[in-house]
Amino acid sequence: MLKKILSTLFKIALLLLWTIVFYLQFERPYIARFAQNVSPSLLISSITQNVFWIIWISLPLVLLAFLKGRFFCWKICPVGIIQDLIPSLGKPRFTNVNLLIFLALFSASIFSVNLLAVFDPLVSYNRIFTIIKFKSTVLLIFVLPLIVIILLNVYRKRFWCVSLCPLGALIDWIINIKNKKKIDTDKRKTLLAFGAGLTAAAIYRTKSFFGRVVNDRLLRPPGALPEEKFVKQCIRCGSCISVCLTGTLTPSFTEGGMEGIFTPKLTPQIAECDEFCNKCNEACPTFAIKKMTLEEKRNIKIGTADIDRRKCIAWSKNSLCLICQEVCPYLAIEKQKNISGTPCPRVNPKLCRGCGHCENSCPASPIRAIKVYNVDAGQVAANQPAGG
Amino acid sequence: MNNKCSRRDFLKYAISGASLLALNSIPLSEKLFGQTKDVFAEINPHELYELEGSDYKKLIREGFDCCGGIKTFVKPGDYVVLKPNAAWSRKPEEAGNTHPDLVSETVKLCRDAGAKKVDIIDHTCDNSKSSFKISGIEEAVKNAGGNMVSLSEGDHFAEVTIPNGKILKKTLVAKQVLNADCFINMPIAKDHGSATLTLCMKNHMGIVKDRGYFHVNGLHECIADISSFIKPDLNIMDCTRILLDHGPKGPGRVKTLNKVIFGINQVAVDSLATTYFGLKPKDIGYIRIAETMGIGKTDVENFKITQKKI
Repeated sequence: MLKKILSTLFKIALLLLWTIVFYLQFERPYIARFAQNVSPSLLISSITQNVFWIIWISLPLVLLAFLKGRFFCWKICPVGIIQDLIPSLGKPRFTNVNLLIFLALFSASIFSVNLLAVFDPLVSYNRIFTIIKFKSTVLLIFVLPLIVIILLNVYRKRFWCVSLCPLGALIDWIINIKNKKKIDTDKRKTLLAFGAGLTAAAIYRTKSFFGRVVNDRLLRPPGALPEEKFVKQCIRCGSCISVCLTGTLTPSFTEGGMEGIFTPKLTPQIAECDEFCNKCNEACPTFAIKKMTLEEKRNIKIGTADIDRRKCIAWSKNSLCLICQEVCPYLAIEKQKNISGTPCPRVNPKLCRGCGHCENSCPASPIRAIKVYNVDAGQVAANQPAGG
Repeated sequence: MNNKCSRRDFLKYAISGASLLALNSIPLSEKLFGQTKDVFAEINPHELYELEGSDYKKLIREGFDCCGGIKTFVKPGDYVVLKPNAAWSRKPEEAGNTHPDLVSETVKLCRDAGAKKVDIIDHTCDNSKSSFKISGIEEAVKNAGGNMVSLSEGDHFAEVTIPNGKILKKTLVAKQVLNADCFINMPIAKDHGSATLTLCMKNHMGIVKDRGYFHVNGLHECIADISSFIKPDLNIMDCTRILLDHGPKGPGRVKTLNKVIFGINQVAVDSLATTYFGLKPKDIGYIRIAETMGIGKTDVENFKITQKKI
């Protein structure tokens, strides 16, 4: 009895430790990168994406799997501990479906979205912090995998860990190699699993298959890879969204098609992208948002602003406005007199970074007169004239 | 454009207005019915002090001494509110914000005079975390014993009626200003895209919630209207360095003047500051309108200006 209480207390303490480590990302964004790259499933998926990022940091877990097998799953993994703390109705039942699931996710990762990492337990756990940041229950959909894991646990103890988890499958695979045991999977099942992954990839890429749907208002974080590569490499961990200083990064739903579901997008309606912040560049564990210094980030284009002169109160109503000129950090809004002699704004696309500050503060209602479109995203903008 | 008040807005304003009255009826009525403090009786409102020197902290100390000492403004146990310009993510040398040394020294003097609490407020245009940090004001103020409040985060506003307002009759103003025993306005003089220059009166846009309304309905008129309601106990104009173009955010050409203006009347202080830019007070719309509304005088030649070099 005492032993049981002690072990529960120990588990709670460990979960708290995980939470603190992940929570530190709000102050030190690079923590998000290191904490999630601990998982070897990110390492495997990195190979599918031709990016060999921080390989060394996942080595301890590989080593642990060699020495102690599933020790990580039973004793350390935060998602595992959560399941232990929640009562369940059934006893665990061991299968080797997880290897097939691993295979399916692996094949999906090669052809489309990086699903292997999307379903990684550490990444799933990290998504909680997006909800903590927004304090929004609507975003519970964002942690759907975690909720499903917990519900499955109620049905049967550690259902996810034993039969579904791709990271668990990876560790099982390492155990098999160590024991020189041949994995007895049926050829047809293997083929089916691979096919399932392909189908998932195909569903995900409907947008690419049926011609691109152009959404020119879908703005990616500063320094994001080109859209095609970005949706493949992003693991939807939500760290960029959690650490964002102004809160302009929000999870997208279907704006970018099926592929883009839960990927970050910039929403100038909520806030602007701060000139002196590169937290998302530091946080991204898979470098889908490039790692950049503050100076590099300041010069990278997110998009380009455009003014609708019929809606602009300076151009159409001769109001003394120019708020967009006031707030623009990059001097990209120039003054130009209209026929009545009122100073009016004009965008210099060479200087505009598309930070969305102008769109955020435009007083034209109900529709803002200046909006940012993802034109020229990822290009390097011209430097502002020195000293004005 | 959007002059009509929707039902939701009306209810929002009515409820916040009612709660303000319930909460702050005493200080509000003082502001409304013009129970002026003895400060005004002692100092000629159109008397200005123009101090010059490169030690900015010393400028503040000397300035207060000229005005009769900090004790004239701050009594022990008072709640003091400072409104510097801290709205932009710009470094002190880029002349986007009030110089941190000026703010911190004022805070220190207020604390030494026995102020209960010193709040430094601004409704920032950039993200407040970023602008407070980069402007250097947050750190300087913290060391001096002040409390930085960002009006951009959380709900800090209460509705007020502006009796002399021509266009702006009702607006949401920061509660801190309404509750303050002493309100010191600390703007920086700089170029401004739409208002030509941003000075004392323009700085009041940093304590109202809906700035868009000003731009939509007539910027200069609204600034004059809010200035008829908000009357700072003291204006300290930072002209240590002024931004000549690409204002109000910059980066633009910066000219170092090493000057600070102390004055009670905001129109008078603004009028003197316009001369630094090579303009006449009446070139600026809101100064012109403020004079016709009787808020202050603009004839700089007739002012009693005390100049002091340190």
